[in-house]
Amino acid sequence: MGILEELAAKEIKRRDFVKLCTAVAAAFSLPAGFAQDIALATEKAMKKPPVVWLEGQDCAGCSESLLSTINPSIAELVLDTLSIRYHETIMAGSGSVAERALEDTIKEGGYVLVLEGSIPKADDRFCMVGGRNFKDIFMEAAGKAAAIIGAGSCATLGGGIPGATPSQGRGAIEFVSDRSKVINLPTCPVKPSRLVATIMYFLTAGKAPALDQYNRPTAFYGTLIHDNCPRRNHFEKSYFLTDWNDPKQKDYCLLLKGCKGPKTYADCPQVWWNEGANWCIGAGAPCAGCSQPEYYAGFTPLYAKQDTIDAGKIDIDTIGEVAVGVAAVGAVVHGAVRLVAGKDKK
Amino acid sequence: MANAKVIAKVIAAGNSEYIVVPRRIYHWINLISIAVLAFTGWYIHAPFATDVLKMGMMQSLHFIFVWVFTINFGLRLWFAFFGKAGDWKVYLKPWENNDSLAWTLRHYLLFQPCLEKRKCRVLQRASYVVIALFYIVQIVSGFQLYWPDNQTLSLITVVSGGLAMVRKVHLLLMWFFVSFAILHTYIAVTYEFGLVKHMFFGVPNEE
Repeated sequence: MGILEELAAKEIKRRDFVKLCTAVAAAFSLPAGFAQDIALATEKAMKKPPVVWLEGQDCAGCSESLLSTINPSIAELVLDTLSIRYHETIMAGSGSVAERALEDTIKEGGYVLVLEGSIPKADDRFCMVGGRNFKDIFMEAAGKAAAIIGAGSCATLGGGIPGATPSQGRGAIEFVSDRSKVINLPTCPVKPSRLVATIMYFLTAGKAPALDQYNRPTAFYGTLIHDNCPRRNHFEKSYFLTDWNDPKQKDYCLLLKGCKGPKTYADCPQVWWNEGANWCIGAGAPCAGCSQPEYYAGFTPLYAKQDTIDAGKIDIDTIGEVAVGVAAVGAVVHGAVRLVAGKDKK
Repeated sequence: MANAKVIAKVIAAGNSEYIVVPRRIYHWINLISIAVLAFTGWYIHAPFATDVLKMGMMQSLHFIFVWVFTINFGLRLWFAFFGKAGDWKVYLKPWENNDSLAWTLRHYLLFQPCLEKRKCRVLQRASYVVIALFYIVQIVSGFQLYWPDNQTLSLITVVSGGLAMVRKVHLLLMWFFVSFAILHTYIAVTYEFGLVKHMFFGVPNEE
């Protein structure tokens, strides 16, 4: 069965498939001609490259995000046909049969390893799968992987929400020896279009796309949300939303409500979520900063603007005000004592 | 006004009592730019809805005075090391001046009065080295926030723990400078008012 018949069987038109390939080319700023290469690579990929999807300390939200897009979506099709050898949530097999599929794939090597969820750093026993440390399972799979994709905030640098727990969850990049093999795709959950585009790019080019210092593809994480925010004009004019119930403030800047846009790099303002339906700030919710390594521990509470020192959660402004207060009071008291004691004589 | 002879004498004596014109100009510009930077920076950090202060205006002012402050400080450093009346020794080797480390320690640790005038300022002079270092940290962290996409600065950002941490450092140092300015003003006005007049308006210090 050729690729088009296969697509037709899933009620996907050739046109949609070409559209996806063009979108991937556009996402990475490649010339339009690359769409053809991507299509060819995908066609080849459908026969071959296995994907192993491991879940650590996760909520399966990234899998959900990917699978519950409009059905049957292009994303699902591509990942379906990529031959996902092992995926705890969606695989049909279970028990030793499933584990053997994983073992066989690892023996073969050359697969794309997708990590969802974090790996506990504090103690391996925080995450056990089938009686084994998850960390060992991951390290074994990471050894022979062609590329390791950290999907979602938990699987990338800061460990997302598990990173804020006593288990000290951290992403793949903190454990593997060859950091250049890792492609990080943070955000909570992982954005399906970014994941599919990255896998397809890897299959086409045979290497990772251009990455930034956090191993995130610059195509998706190269710009500051704040710089492209549709509410930026309200920010410049100091129109800040202070009262959720005031209809006048509906479109005001969300900075005072804890928006992390000025600290967060992602293309969310340009490429919206849920197949272009909307995105956080568009829906009136402050940016949570989920594409940043500081997320979640460093950015909580999400709905309050504050700059606290990590240890002890002390507000820097409080420290500053105390310092200034002590200095001022000290000066006044010292001056008064000198005046009374008459020490001013030279 | 300063003539070359006086300056030469000042240098020969290793004495910083006479404040040459470049130092006075630096002090004025530094005072104004820090005042503007601290206020606008504080507003950028903790904005509130108002019809008078506008975020865009505050940011523009901040970004203009960033350059004023940075260039001014750069020239001051150049002057300290290569200027005609270069005074880097006063700060980096404070004990070599008129001041004495022994006197200073006795004054601070044993609460003994400073018998000879202006001999106990080793710590005061050294504190300006700390201030200069903090200026550099403040300038670098400021530019990290100003050019978040700059690759070289991004490397520093990663080492220093992300942009959010850089903001915290930048903010904390602002509060430090404000506290320092209060004490600096108090001590100067109460103990060395002659020098204050000298620093600001060039009135010769008669003390």
